[in-house]
Amino acid sequence: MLSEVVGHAKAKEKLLKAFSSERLAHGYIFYGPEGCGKVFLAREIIKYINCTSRGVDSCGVCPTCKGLSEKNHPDLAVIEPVRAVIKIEQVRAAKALMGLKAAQCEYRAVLINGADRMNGEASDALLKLLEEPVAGTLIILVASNIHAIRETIRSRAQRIDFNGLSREDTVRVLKANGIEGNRLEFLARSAEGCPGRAVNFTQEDLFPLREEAFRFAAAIGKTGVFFTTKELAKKYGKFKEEEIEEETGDAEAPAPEEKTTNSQKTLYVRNHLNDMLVSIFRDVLLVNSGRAAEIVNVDKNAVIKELSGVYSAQAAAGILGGLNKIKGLLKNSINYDLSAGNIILRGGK
Amino acid sequence: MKLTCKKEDLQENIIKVEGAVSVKTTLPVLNNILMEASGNELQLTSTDLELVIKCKMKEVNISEEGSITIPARKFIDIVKELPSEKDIIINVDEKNQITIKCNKINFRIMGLGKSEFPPVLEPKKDSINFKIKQSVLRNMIKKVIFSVSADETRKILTGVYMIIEESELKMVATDGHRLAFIKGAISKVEKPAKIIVPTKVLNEISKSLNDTDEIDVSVLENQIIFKRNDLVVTSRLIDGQYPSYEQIINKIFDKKVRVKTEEMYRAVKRVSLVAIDKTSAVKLKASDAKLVVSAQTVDVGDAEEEIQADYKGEETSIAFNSRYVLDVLKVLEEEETDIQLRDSASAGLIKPVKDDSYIYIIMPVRI
Repeated sequence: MLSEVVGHAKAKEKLLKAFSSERLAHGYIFYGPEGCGKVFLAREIIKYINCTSRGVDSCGVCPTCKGLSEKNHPDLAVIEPVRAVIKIEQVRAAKALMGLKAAQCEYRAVLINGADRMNGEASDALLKLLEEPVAGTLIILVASNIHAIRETIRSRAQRIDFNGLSREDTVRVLKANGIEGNRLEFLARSAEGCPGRAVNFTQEDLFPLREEAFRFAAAIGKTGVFFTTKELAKKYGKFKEEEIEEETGDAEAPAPEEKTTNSQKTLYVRNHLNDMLVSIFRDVLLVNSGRAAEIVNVDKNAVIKELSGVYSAQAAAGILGGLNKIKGLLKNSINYDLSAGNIILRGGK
Repeated sequence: MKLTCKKEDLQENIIKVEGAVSVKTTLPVLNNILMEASGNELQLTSTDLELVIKCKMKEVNISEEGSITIPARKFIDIVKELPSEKDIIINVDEKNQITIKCNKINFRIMGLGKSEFPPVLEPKKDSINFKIKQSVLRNMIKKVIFSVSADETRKILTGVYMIIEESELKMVATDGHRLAFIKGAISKVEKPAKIIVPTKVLNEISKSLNDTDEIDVSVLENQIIFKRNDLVVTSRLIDGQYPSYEQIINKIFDKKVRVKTEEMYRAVKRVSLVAIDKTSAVKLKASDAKLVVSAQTVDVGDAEEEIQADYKGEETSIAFNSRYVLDVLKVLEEEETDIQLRDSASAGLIKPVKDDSYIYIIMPVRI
């Protein structure tokens, strides 16, 4: 039901107004940071416009509401990136369904989650669908990077901008997802208004990896011990296979599948580890600049304090700069363990 | 879920639902068959979101009721390879692991829970119901289905247009170059209906039609249902307005050439061997009591064959795509065929001599 959507009042109002005045566009782009609730709102809007006994909200109990809540409803095609790309076959399948009469709903809908990950062919196929809208259909594109969507597609759909949620709203969503205790405050702060990220963090079970990050941050400064992310990759994080990006180049010498998965998992761990280290040293910087109230890792207050004795504000700033720089280089198979270790070690001196 | 059944029964039934299992799909569960066991019935369902095939196996020994979806391809292959005349024991545990046992053979495969399977939707009301002889339906489908378009960008033409009126069913199929029209008898309906039916369901249903009795057909606003006591096939309909076809089939064709169907088929097939360019055109030239079929392709060569024809009047010639001509001659059962023409730039009509219920129109090729 729409009332379950936390925040995003403007977006909700805009859509409802368009619907009640019979001016619902055939295509929308929901644009905003990842994990802020765009897909949730999109699903609820689709339910609302199809609900057979809707008032100010969908009823949640009529056959259409119930049907749409189930998985794989024939009138709703949900497209998501497979191996980080949306391909033409996926768009075509949605297109084929749009050509059929609705099974149950008044509006057949296509929801493309990750519309910024469509490849060229998929974009072309989608463009056709947007160019010749069929009555009684709705296409919602969800994206966090608007520039990765072609201009031609952007110009044929209405854009609705989403912002991150407030801290209170984030906490509400996290509580609704069963997150409690001392993790709650940390997750709410680190989510930056996008509770979806925090939920992922929990589902992928990244807390043990975070412990490691803290240990390294503390240990490197003192003893100069380095870490090997390859080893960490074997231990931590519930890695989703679908997120492996397809290898594009090097078609002549395809790596054995197992090897690819391993190296992709290492990349995944490195990405997260780097983010965690950034978050730690950002907190150190905050503490040393007298803004201790704003730190993200509130549950690790004591460790942060200890670290802020080791690293000065200037050192922390230097480390942050270094870590942010190598984040962009992660895919280029740099020696991450050595680089990150070095950056931190030098900062500490 | 736990049940025991005979290998032959199971194989026969899973093959019935195989047709609606998706081949290329983005939803993994659509590769699966849904099995639901309750009472002494096992219901099998498969769908690709367009087509749903359900069939019931009766008198199955079910010791524990339940449901599961099982990978169709694997399941069919496994059942086929099991020894015949033996009992198969299927057992599903709470982790969706399926054990298939037969004699001393043991298979374990992973299934998916029923919750992943697309929900079964209540059909919209106000259906139009009629009965049609299974043999009639199969014959009608066979004679029009090859004319539909394969071009997915014009979805409407990929389906067969059905017009249900009084006690008659008409079917029309066209791809813009040729059009097939047929009518047949059905039980009387209360309300007329015009629908566009995807070819997939027609192909599937005609596979399982027999020659003896009738089949129930229900047409709803958004779907068509074919129902027999053991089998229910449901398909969604194609959305849109079918182009008007009446003016095409009601034109007057003043030149009538009567030929032997078999002879004509062989002649066109032979001559078209040298018609290998894009249009693969064969030329028909009718003059007194004969029809000359010819073809030619630059750089390849030419061919010509004369066949006997019942024709009187001025010499006339026209060219058609040979494939379109062969398609229709292949399904014509009567000994003699009428080819009706006007001039070389207008469409031609092909029909069986004694039967007015089947008409086939071809647009000519310019040569």
